[in-house]
Amino acid sequence: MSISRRGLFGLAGGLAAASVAGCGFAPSTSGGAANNSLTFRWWGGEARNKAYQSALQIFTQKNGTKVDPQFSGYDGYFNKLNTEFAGGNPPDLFQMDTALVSTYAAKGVLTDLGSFIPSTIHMDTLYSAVRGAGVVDGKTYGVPSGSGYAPVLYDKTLFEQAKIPVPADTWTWDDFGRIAGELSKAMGQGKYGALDASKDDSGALQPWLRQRGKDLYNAEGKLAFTKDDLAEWFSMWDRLRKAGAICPPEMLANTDSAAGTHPLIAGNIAMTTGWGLAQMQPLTQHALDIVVVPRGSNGKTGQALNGGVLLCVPVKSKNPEAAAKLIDLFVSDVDAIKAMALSRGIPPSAKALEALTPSLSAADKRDVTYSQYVADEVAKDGLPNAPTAPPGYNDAKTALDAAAKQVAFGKMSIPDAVAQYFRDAEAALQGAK
Amino acid sequence: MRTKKKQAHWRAHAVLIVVLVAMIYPMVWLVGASFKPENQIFSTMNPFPFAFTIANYVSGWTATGNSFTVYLANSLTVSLCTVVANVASCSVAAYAFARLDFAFRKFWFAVMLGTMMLPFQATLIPQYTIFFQLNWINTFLPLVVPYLLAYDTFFIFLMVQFIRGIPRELDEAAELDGAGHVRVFFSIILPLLKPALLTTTILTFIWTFNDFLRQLVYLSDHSRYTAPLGLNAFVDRASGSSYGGMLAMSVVTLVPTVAVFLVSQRRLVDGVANTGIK
Amino acid sequence: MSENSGVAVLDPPVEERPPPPLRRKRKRHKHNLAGYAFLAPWLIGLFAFTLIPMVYSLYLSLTKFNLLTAPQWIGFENYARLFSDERYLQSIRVTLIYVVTSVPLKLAAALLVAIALNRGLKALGFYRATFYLPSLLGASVAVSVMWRQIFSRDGLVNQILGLFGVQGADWIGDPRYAMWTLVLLSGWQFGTPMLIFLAGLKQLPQDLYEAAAIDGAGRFTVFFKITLPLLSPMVFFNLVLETINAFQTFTPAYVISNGLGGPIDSTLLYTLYLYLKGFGSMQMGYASAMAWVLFAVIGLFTAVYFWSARKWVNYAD
Repeated sequence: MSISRRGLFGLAGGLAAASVAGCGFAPSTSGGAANNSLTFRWWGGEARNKAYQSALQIFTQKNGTKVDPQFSGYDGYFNKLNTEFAGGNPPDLFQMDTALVSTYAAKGVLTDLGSFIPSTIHMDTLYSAVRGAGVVDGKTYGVPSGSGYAPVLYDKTLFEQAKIPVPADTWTWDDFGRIAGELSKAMGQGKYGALDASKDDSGALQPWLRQRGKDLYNAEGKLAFTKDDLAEWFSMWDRLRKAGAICPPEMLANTDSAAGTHPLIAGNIAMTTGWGLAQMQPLTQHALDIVVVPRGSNGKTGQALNGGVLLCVPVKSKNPEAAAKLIDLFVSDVDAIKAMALSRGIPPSAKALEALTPSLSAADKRDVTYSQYVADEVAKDGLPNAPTAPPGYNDAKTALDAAAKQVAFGKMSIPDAVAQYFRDAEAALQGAK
Repeated sequence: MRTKKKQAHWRAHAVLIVVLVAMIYPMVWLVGASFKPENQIFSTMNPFPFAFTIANYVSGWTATGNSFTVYLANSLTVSLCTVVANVASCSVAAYAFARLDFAFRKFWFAVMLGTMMLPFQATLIPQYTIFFQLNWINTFLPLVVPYLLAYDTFFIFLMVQFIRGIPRELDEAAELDGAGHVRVFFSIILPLLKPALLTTTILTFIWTFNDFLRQLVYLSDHSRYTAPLGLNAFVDRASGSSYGGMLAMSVVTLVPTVAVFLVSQRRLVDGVANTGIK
Repeated sequence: MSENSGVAVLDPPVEERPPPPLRRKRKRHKHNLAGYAFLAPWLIGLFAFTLIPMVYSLYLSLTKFNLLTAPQWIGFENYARLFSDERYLQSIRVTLIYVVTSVPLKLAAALLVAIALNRGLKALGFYRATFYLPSLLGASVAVSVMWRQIFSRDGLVNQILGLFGVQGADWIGDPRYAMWTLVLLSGWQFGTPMLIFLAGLKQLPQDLYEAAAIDGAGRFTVFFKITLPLLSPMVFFNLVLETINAFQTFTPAYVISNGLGGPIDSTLLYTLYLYLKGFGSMQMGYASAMAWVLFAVIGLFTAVYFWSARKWVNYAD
């Protein structure tokens, strides 16, 4: 018996197909080596990928610089990026998580963009509150590409079915607990008023702390609240949990990362923090809406404007000038802003919003009016801007998630969980320095 | 007698079918969901698309910048090259381990097994650095060339086990006829190794086709993206996602692997069944 | 097929083969040149793409390395720290449970189905294909979404349990059960060992079965006296490889927990924690130390398997 002719033909066919697509084996011609080209890396879903690519076309038309768009989902994004940094081959320009910029800046791998401001990058068009989003130790390492306030997202249809009025923008944490409890009762067994947000640091804990004049972190990169604060926070959620107002911890699996399998989409809960309309509304037939995170008893919103995502230039970028120009396109080019519309979040400048307003859809208008309303309310708070998340932030965030769930599952007492959090978070923040 | 046998067959079929339904229900859900409008994929539990639509396929095909045709062509290229490279290089090395008597054979065999024991996450960075020095980043070379050099020792070990199942008398007879190792390898071992070669083909193809992390790290230019990288660009936590497109293209991405499996397994089972070793 | 190897398999305790030649002090090897010629491609690849990165990662395990700046030598500190890290110990517990449950489950399922499929039933191709289908899926986002949908509180599993009046749990969200959905997922994807068993069955000499049929041996006798001993090289291979794979299991955890190991670390598999430490917390030195401890553990398991193999694995050569 020998290898059959068919097998050989199959092999030959495979090789032929391979040689057709064989260009994939040649070194890339669109690297960032030449003066007129640039590699730009970002993560995003379908909407952002399309928006960025249309902006890049405008950039190439205006500057003659060819941009190699390199995009992926968030899964694996930082794995690839870190591997490239370690190998000494990062992209020329890349999108950065606001929470991680200080970690990278502290290691000296990001370009201080100060020399491009204001000559190339027109930072002054940005809202003053977001200008600092990429600033670490007084130097600008990243420029925000979007901005936003984390709202509470709720299922209007479920509120109507339960015959409970939707929350008002003036509601407080007490109102939140009461409404969640009423919803749980009205919706019946196995369904709950709200998602347990005790683990949500930026969407829930941070506004709550700021309402009390504290914050998650201070400018020195240390925790800016006490054990008593955290114990009180956990106790508040524990009471709601025991009263059945919020969901049991089993429902919390994967609520941070996947919109599709979120219990709000299944109709099992009516309110959640940490999510916006744009991600959730397309996935359900129910009508959704957003409202400000509950206020403190002093009426403050405590909201901190976040810079969405940042654009950063590695020290090893092969074309920092072109990278800076591309950053400015996102900041101040009206054509690019129009092309991207709201698919990258609310644009971080009044100029951009003005350019966009005439062409917005109803849902987008809702997002814009909401963010303008919150901006006005935040101005009334009179609180300082929140400092950039410190190095080690990611591990501190994981520590909050772990401690909150230990309490929720009844595996740890509140004092023990608080102690564990402070031990782990302080070690993470200290170790990253 | 005959009816009894028939009954036994029906019982066997019944058991298999029950197990099968449980096995493939998830796939039914996947295919059903890919034909649902986006706002019903997760909010309805029924696997069948009552509001049938092919919109996910239409929009999904071009949603991530490049046409999915490009990603599939790239995936096929990488997978087919890897299959050819892997089958060739591993069978040669396996022959040496299974049949040849050379110095330090046991040592090298232990080293070969040892290379499988370190998780790949630990060697990703040094490997990247090597390929970067070779100027291979953003090409298919880091994905294929190692397989030309029997990188995946899983298959060496697999083929060693199969070759050791072939009675030595056969090669000894050939050697008595004056055949050298090359001829023994090509005319005795390779033909009898066909089940293992087909198994290697199926597994290599599927694993390469579904591989995500290595392809993500080594390919940057989106005209060189493979299907798993294309799928990864549909869904994101913060910017708008397209679950419908992702599910539809996942179904499309299954087609080549199912096709390769069907063709190869048929040859594996029917082609070899009655001609096995006599 | 030679007579005597078949007899030896049927009746293993009797040593039928000639004893191996006595070892001399200076071993003479017949095929040094040919051996290294056939081995050359692998050896080149070994040094170029495998050994250098391995040695480098061993070096990294003795350093503090944050990926962005040069590694700093700290000796064995990473190794010393491992065993006071509670999450590390948890990941060992999770991984051991996973290995000892998923490997037997997967191999048993694979072997049973392979044997069932190797018989002359009609429409076998169809069954084989569908049994293999789950393994074709790998561990993509789609699988993750699908698996969660099925095991969610209102998912299919609980709907079926509901028919029998059983109130199902939240299988993925509950730390008591999440691990078992992971084991089930791995059992569901038993295609790889099944395929290898099938290929092994195809290689078995048919004359033994004919002889057994003439002797009037029952189905179980045939299985335990002929099939299993002859298939032992494949059983051995699958056992070794599935154990190695189970220790290094990574992607299924993504399906269940989005790569975070939750709920409350109940699915925090070893390599997942390694990955989170190395690439998430950017402590690659520590992660490398974890990798080398795992290397040693897997090496130990494999050595035990190989040592035991002398007693139960029968080769034809």
